[in-house]
Amino acid sequence: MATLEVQGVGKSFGGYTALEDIGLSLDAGSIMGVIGPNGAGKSTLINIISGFLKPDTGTVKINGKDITGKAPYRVFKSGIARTFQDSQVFGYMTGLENVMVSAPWGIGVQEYNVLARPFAVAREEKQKREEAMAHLAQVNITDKARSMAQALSYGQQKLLEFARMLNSRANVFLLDEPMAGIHPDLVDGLKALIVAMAKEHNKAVILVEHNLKVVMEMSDYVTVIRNSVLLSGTPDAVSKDERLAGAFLGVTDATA
Amino acid sequence: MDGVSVLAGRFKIFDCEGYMGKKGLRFRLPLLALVIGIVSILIAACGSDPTATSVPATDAPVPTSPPQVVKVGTTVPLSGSLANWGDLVNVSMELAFERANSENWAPGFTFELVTEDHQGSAPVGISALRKLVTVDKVPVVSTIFTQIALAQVPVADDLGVVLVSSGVQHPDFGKLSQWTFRNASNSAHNADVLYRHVTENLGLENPRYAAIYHGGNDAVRILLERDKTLLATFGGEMVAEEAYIPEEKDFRSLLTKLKSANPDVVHLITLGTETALMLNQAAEIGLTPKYFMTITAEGAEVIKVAGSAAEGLIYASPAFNPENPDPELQDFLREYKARIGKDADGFAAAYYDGAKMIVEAVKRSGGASSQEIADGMRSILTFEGIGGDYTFDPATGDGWQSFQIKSVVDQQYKTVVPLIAPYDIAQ
Amino acid sequence: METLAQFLVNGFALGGVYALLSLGFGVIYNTVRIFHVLHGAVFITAGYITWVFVEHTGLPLYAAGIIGVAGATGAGMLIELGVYRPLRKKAAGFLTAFLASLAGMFFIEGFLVAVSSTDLKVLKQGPLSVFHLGDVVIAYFHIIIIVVVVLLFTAVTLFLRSTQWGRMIRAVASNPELALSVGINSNQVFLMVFALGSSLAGIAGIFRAYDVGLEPVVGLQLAIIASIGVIIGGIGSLPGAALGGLTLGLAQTLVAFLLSGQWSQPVAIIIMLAFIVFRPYGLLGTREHKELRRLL
Ligand SMILES: Nc1ncnc2c1ncn2[C@@H]1O[C@H](COP(=O)(O)OP(=O)(O)O)[C@@H](O)[C@H]1O
Ligand SMILES: [Mg+2]
Repeated sequence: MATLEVQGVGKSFGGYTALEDIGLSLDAGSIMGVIGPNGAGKSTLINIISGFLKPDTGTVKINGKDITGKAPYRVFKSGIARTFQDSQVFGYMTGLENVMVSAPWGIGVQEYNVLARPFAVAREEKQKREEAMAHLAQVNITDKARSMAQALSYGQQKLLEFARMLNSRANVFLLDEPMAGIHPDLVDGLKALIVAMAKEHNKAVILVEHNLKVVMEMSDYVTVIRNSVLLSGTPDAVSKDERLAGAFLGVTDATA
Repeated sequence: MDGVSVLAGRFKIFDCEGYMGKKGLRFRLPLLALVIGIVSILIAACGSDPTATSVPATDAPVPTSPPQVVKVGTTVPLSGSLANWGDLVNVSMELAFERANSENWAPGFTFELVTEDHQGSAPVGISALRKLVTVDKVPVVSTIFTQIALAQVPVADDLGVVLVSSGVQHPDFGKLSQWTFRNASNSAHNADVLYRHVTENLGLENPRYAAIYHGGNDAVRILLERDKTLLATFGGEMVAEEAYIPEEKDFRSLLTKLKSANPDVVHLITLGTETALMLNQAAEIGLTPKYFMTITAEGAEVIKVAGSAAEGLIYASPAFNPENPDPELQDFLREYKARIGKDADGFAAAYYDGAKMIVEAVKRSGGASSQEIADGMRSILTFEGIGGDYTFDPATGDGWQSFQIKSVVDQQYKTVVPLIAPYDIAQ
Repeated sequence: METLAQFLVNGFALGGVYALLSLGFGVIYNTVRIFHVLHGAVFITAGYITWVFVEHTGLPLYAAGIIGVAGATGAGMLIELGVYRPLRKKAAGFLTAFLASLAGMFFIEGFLVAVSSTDLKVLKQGPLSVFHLGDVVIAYFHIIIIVVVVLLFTAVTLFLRSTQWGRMIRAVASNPELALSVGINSNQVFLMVFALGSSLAGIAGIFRAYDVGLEPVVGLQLAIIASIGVIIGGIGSLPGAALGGLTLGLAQTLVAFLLSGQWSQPVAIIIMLAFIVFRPYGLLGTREHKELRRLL
């Protein structure tokens, strides 16, 4: 049984069909690259899987459990975490708090424990803080732990998002163009991190990118979409397929 | 309703600031309107029972012509939370008329009450008055609540109808028209009595006075002016005047300021609720002068809220004494209780006396036109009623009622000066 | 000089109650973005419940007070569940929610007038016991108010800063959509926020009922005070809300002291207008100033 399974997903906005009959499946420890030109419906797909949009047709399952159309916070609780294409942070919380917030587990979540077991809650807090600091360290922004997220640069905010996701204990990561806007010096580190998440931490990763080269390098499988699935397979197989060029026809940034 | 007379003055409660000045009253109106409306209709029906108005004893000479019926109008609240005031006026006046009819106080005349609901509203009060005069053809109308009575005065003037009140507080009510008469002391009289009490009975030499007053309406200003006149008469000086708004409940700044003026006596032109809080907060900061005020002091909350801080509070009240064995008074108290289920108070007694004066006026002129009743009223210079003794100024039609001075002693209202005869201090 | 010190003491006592009220209003406003006029109803609910228990069952004040605060907390949660949540489901706007809240406030006020009259309800009889510090008179009760306010403020700040619930609340306040994606159920957070804000209002209501008493009309009046406190403190800032409330109490006291008690209500509005014009982000706020301009 695949960790994440998407079947026959379709979505229209008004009269415009953004997605049609999308299917893909993904196992723990592997990276699925999803590519397609701008407007292909990649973000829409991520939004459907993460519960931000309800699909018109089709199902989304995690470990065999149907989560189609569930509210985003329920999807998160079933083990799917995501980042956003345009960076999203809690602007008026510190870097550390931004990371810690994605750990809604433990006794601190039960409000009465705050009153009934304040010391246990405090111990748990300490543990959560250390964990969050470790994740900030993984993306090299420990120096931003005390800064308001709003004051960080765009690239730093994206890294912060990453750390937040790492902290979430989710099994499936949905990454919507994680490299966009990141300082070139940091891109390699980030790529290594994504690969490590899959290979060392056994996460299932969906990597949405419009940069063909990057995806081919990193992914175990690639799905090319342009409103519907055009091609899928290993990077090798896909890059040799002559239909690939057609997918990006009329789009200038195909290999940029 | 908000801008109405505030005051001071024992009939203060009639002005109903405490009830009408608040938002939210409207929500209660429909609820109580029905119940009280029905009750007052029943009472009115009993009151106009023909047997009650039937004439003299069997052995009396058979009259050659039937007695002339004098219709006396009232404009009172019959609906809403104020309806109890309507009952008070109507029942008190009916009791007076029943007695007048059966004892033949004004030979050749019987009296009958016609009532209209003014709903506690001035515009309604005006149309109620018009209806009574033009449709029911009443020559005289009794009314209640300052703001409504003041609005009715020009209309009464126009229509040439006698307008009597036994409760209105505004100092100028009598002066406003040749048609207005009042058998009640006004709020300025109340102050007169208290300044005299301070000077003559408390033995303070040139005391330092201060006043705390609510808002700044017309009646309050007249009263503050009156304070100055009284100071000229009795001596002493006004060292501070502090205003507050009724929404305010924290008077500590005001009182701290007042304390630095170090007054001996403070005139409270306040409502019951705030009075209690002020007394508490003043006691906290150690401001303990003598306080004097109106019968508002007997408002339900003063002793309950202020507790020990209310101790020594001085106020003037009509010299109504329910212990007086006078049979007419005792009959009234018994009958009133039987009809309404509550004890009659000084207000009820004053309305009884007001009705009695109308009978007396008719008797004196021998006629019941508005002009004849007005002439009759003007000729009454003193009057002994069940609510006290009254004197009248024929020039204005305004009355003085005898007072008593009361004070809070051991958490109870006690009379300290039993009777102060009607008189005038500073003409 | 003594009178100035005296006025400061009075101002802190009054400002303390305002600070609690503003703090509660701020917690709710910052997170739910609702102009919660019914906060005033919650405030008086606590006082009235406490009064009923003290008056009619002879329960000791502290026990009745606990019931009162619990009642206020429940009332706040009920308002969220029964009024605001259905409106949110229907995608009602800010103004609709505000009008619903205002209507609710009038309804509660009318209800209280109908069932209990407009009489003042005071939880004690007679003056407060006091002690003297030089010429300055201080009521023990006012010291209690100030201490409790400081403790509650610290507790609320700690709660919001260093518990998972606190972070979840602040996350919803900061970026509601993103909050969804980290597993936060915003409806649950809103309910929590109403419970928290309403319990603060409830405590303020009991303080007020003990100090100067309650009557139905105070609800709306103090809801306005609470919102002004939040605005002058800086929308979005909880220390600001508390400071704003305190500032209002001091300003009202000072104005009553320098001019007259008649000016204590208008001065609150004047201060608010001055802030909107000259410092729209308030005393401590840094962020929502654009929102404030839009709001008003
Ligand atoms: N909420 C929405 N309402 C209407 N149209 C939308 C919405 N979201 C996306 N679209 C449209 O769907 C198409 C796919 O968009 P998107 O998924 O963002 O593409 P990609 O991420 O591949 O660039 C675009 O044409 C976009 O305009
Ligand atoms: Mg996209």
